[in-house]
Amino acid sequence: MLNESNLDAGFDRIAQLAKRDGVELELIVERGENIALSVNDGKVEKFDSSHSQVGGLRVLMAGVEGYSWTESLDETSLEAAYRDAVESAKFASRGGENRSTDQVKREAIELWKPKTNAKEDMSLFNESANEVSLEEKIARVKRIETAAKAVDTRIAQVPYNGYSELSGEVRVYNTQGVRARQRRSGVTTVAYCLAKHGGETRMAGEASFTRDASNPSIEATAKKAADRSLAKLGAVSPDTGRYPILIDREVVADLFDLFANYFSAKALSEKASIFGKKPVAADNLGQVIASPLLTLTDDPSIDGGVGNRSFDSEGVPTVRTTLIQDGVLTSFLTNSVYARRLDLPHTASASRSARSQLSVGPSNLVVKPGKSTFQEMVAAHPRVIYITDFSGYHAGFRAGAGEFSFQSEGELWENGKLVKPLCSFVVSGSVAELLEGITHVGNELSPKVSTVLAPDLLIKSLSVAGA
Amino acid sequence: MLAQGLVKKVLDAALERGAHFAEIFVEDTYQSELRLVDSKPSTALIGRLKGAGVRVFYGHEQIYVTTNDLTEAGLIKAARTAAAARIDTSAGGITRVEPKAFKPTSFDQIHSFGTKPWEYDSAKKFQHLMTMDRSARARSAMVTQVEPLLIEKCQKIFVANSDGVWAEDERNYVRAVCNVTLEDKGQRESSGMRDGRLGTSEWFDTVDFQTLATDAVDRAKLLIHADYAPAGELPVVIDGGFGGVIFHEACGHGLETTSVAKNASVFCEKKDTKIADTCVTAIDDGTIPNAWGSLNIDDEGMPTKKTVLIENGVLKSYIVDDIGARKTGFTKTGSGRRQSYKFAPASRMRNTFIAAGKDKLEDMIRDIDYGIYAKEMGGGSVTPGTGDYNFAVTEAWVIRNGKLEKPVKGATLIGRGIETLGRITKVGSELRLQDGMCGSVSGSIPTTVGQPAIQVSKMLVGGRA
Repeated sequence: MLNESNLDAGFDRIAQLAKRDGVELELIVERGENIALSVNDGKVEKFDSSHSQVGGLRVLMAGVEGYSWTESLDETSLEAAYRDAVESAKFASRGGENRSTDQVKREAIELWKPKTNAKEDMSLFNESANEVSLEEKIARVKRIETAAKAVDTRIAQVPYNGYSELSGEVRVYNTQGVRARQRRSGVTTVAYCLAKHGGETRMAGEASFTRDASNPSIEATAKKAADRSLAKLGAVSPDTGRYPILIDREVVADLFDLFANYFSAKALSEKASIFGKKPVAADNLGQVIASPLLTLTDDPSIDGGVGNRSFDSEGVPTVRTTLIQDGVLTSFLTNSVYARRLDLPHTASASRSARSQLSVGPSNLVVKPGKSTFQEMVAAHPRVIYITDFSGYHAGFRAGAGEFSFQSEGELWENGKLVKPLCSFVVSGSVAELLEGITHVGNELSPKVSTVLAPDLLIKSLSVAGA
Repeated sequence: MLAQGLVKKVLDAALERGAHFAEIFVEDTYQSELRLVDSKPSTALIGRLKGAGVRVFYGHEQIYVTTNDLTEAGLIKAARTAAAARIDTSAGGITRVEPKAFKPTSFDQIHSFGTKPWEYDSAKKFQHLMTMDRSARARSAMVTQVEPLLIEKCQKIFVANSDGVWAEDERNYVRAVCNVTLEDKGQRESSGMRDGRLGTSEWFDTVDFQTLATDAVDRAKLLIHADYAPAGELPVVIDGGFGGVIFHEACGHGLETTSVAKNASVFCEKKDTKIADTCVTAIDDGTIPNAWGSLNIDDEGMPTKKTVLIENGVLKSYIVDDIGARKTGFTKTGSGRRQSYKFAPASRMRNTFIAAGKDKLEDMIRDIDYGIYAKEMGGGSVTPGTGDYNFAVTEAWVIRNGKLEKPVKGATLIGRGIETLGRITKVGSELRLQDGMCGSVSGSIPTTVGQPAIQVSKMLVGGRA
């Protein structure tokens, strides 16, 4: 890996070329080291160790963007990448002759100019993984499999399991003076258990994440995965019909991850947000888009949040933003480009990996917990289907239409009592139907394994296709 | 890409602690993505990926180490890291395996390549994108957004191993996509069409960009005010082309030794047994000239093959990579594939399809009193351990009394692979293939799916109740 000084020198070198050409430049560098292990029947099956680095360039030529990325960060490769980005910008300026001067001026993009540079959040990084020997890593991944199998003799296998340690850093530079750095580290454990009984097989999984490598969740994660797969044995397909649907908090987190792009000002501008109903961006705020029980925020600094960030991908210091307050749409997420273009408040939500173009994205999305207990919600109607898993998110979510249709697994509860596990059914509806139909919000948030935290949600009624 | 002397040193370093096998994979890739939004360029992105992966086997234990440092010192460091990760020491002392002398893999170049992405006139690329944009917008006043996209990729690979493999190849990919969004009376509908092949940029001169765009608009227009699909178990006719995603998800993934070797597939222990009606023959073929999922050699340096998976309903072969062959004893099928050097290879599909049968689409529809005709399919996924799959129908019709009654939207089809396979009752005579991207343990790779129209006696249709 390159050391700090020659990375800075690399940026300075291409910044000089940019200055010579009258071009503005932004560089994001991502570097990481990852170790991942998995086992099969007590033997290590896979050991992956990767060192990666990539530099992503964004140039602005007369207000038009061009992008390139390279995995070689020596001076020659960075210079080649700079030329690629300039080529890209030339392509992106095509057709400009057909637009009015006003339009070109309005759409011109500028780099973020910092007043002060954001400080690194030191809580996102520690070196505890350095203290974990290879033998200990192996012992840990073996414990995942052993612990899962020990739960019940019906756990035939743990075919997908893993213990991984990741450490890395992101740096943002631009020719307006941005210099920002964030290191991150973390340990993830995963277990997917296959429960077999008679001729029946069911699978379920669980993951955990911690920044402290000294004591990752192993037995608890394995047990939860095993319990989940066992709970599915004996599942049957429900009758087709409409049911009150209680969605498990981790599934709710997945759903809001899918819906996140609707809150992006870029999506709004590109007519890809279902909340964009009026031509002037700000006029879309204030509309009722959900039950009054729903409040949603984007929070970059939660205690232990996976998506915490002290600056966004343009190097802008981050802030907390309320997106939905008591069911009312209160904000879109913006970066410096879309805040200016749509005349919306700047929420410092720029999102760009080194390999992608500048976009907008949340840090941690948090659905505010409510007051209802699980027991209250399953007893709220004579019959409730509790959803434990949705599958096929990419196929079943029709983002443009704002509709979904997901393969599902779950449980049928009657009068507050568990009747039977369910499988082989599809839950369908629209995003609006789901958000507006929330009647109860659970009092506990999902675990901090993803960038979305959410409680269980009880929906008045959704369509269920079963046998 | 690398000198023999250096490769030998790297493999020696990887084998120095007694590994049974060592391999080095090197990649140098150029890729470009150009997209319009709001009728003007929104993405212009050029990427260069370069790195190496060193893989060693200690028995069935696989160790994989990647690096961006392609200097001798960098590669040897990666090899030593891999060697040092020897974990299960129960096998006893170190016995050095001597790498075999390199024997260059010979293969016929069956694909034709011409103009590289950087050689093709960028003004013409812009025109192709604008053709899609203008054609879509001219097709309907309901069009609110058009996102045309051109993707080009040039991947050079090198692989050598301690079994004497020495192979180099170049793969080029080109793809055109047109996504559209329509709005009318408060309803929104999106649709997309695409085409892609293993090939180079002069292919763009042959693409009918106008039709790609207008077909996308026509589908969205058909569905924007359509009713929702019905819900419940119904007979389904799935048309050719991307309809083959059903076989890909319901069966293909379960035949990969990645799942089979760990007994996590419903198709384990089923070789040479009847798993489908005799009308079903399924093939995974890497040798179709310039097809999207084709190869010359796989990512383990083995010439690709045509593999018959199911013949007249009987399971004939799994999809087998090197480690899969070592674990199961099945013969390798030239199916070791990976997205890039960042992934160890795994057994993966290439161009996978149900072979043409004898039936006619009209007859399949005429057979059905009440059911669904799935004209175009979207993506899907499967849990190999259980065979539970799902996929989306992007254009569906209700069949009533043997005739197409009306288009419907929002249909998801779900089921268990082995059950669905047993319910294929008719296979049509016209095979069509379609490009797709498949994501799995070794990343996202180009794969073709395909089939003629098929009739399935019963599937769970996840429409609206």
